[in-house]
Amino acid sequence: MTGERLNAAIARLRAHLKGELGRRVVWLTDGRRDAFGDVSTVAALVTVLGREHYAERRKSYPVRSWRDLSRVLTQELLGAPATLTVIGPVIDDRREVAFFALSPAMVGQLGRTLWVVPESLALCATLPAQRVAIVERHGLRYFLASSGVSQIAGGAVRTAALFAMAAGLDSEQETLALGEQDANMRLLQGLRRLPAGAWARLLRPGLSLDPGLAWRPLGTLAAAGLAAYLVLGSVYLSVTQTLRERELKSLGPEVATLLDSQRRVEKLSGEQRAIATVLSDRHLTYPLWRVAARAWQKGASIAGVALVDGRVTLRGTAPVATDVLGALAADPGVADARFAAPVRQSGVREEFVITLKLTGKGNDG
Amino acid sequence: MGSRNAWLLGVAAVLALLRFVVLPWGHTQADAHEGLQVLTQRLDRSVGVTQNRAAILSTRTQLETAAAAARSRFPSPPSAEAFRLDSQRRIGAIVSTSGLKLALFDWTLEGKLADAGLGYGRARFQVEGPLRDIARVHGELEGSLPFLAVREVQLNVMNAAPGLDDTHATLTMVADLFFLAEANR
Repeated sequence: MTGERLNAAIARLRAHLKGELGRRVVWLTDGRRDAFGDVSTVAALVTVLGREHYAERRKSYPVRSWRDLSRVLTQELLGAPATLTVIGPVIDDRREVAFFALSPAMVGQLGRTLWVVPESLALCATLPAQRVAIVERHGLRYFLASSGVSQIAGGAVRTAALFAMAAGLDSEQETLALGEQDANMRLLQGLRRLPAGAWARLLRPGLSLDPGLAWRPLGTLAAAGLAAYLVLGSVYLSVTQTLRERELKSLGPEVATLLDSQRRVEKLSGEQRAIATVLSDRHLTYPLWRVAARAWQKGASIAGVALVDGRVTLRGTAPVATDVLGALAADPGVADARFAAPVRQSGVREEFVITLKLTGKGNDG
Repeated sequence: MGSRNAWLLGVAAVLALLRFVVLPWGHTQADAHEGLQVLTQRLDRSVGVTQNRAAILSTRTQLETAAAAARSRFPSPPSAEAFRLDSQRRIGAIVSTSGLKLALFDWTLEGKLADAGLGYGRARFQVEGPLRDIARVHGELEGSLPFLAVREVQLNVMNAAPGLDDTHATLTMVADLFFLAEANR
């Protein structure tokens, strides 16, 4: 239920925004109409300039950079009559520029607007590739190619076939006929398909950021959104804080004691683990005397015993050193017993150095 | 010109509003959010301990008993200096009672094990005398001082012969001696 309401609200909002946008797109032909065909007097975001109000020409430049070409055009049009330009894509290291020279009478009638878009530019974006259209509306008839080239019917070019031939297209292809309503419908579609570069070039130069234009509702909307966010955020935080505090109080005074007990439990657990580590690191070393006793049983004389890092080194002499090593290796409390140096004969006895590890097993015996 | 001034005044008002109202408000909200997070964690913990009341109390009792038992093997001196003096005296007494000579005693290191609540000193000492008595003292030191952990042992025997006899020997030991740190008494 909530989802349906939300979808309905979103749909209403979209319709409202579409309506607002449609009213801010003005088509300037023999009159001033909005995107729905109604007569309009409001300030426009986009003014679509009727084909009868400009002359069109094209020129190719050997410049790849869009920015550099923009600078070139600025210089080239310095002091020239009001002209809109649109820079095309790079083809063979060149860019084609479309010039739309506005009729001087029309410049004064544009009024307040952010963008001025030539009608033929918007409509050609809706045509299929390699096609020609005949546009007939408000008493004007002109030909339009999908490449963007357009020409008012008259003079040598009176038919779509001739126009197609002049534009380098197949003259036998079927021509699209666009009436007033068709053209009106296609305008918004065409505007949506214009590339960002075209919008950048068609931004009306010298435009002032008049707060009375579209900025006021936008500013109001942003300010209202910000205020709503701050107020709702504060209310949420305040209410949640109060609820949590109430919930905490309802748990009773024993909570503090229990929290203290829990902290104590955590501390004691940690301490227990640490003490256990200390105790487990404590290895009794007196069992090394049992090792010495095993050696003595084999007639060994021990001159020195060292225990470092858990490893015992036994130095001494015996009638047969290997007997001593064998006895030690057989002890369950001994591991890794081996000679650490060559056994040497010293008179009737053998000198040995044996290293081993105490395992801690068999300490009771 | 009038419209331009109004526009500039409007921009100034918006900037002032952002600086003196919106930003402080936002900071206050951020502080309140942090406070709420802390409160929520406290609440979660409080609910948790209330639900586990019995388990927490019984665990605490068990751990305190176990900790007291574990601590009882370590001495609880008034200070580290007093512990060192007392330990040196006890080791000296064990050695002299056996008729041996404590030829060297040196404290080489001291430190703390904060997690365990223990302090320790590392001592290096040398005992001289008959081999038979040295073996007995070694066992007695480890058996009667449960807070002593031997790290290194070095035994040198003069004129060695098979078996425990009265041959003169020197036993050098490095050992850590642990005690309860002040905070844990």
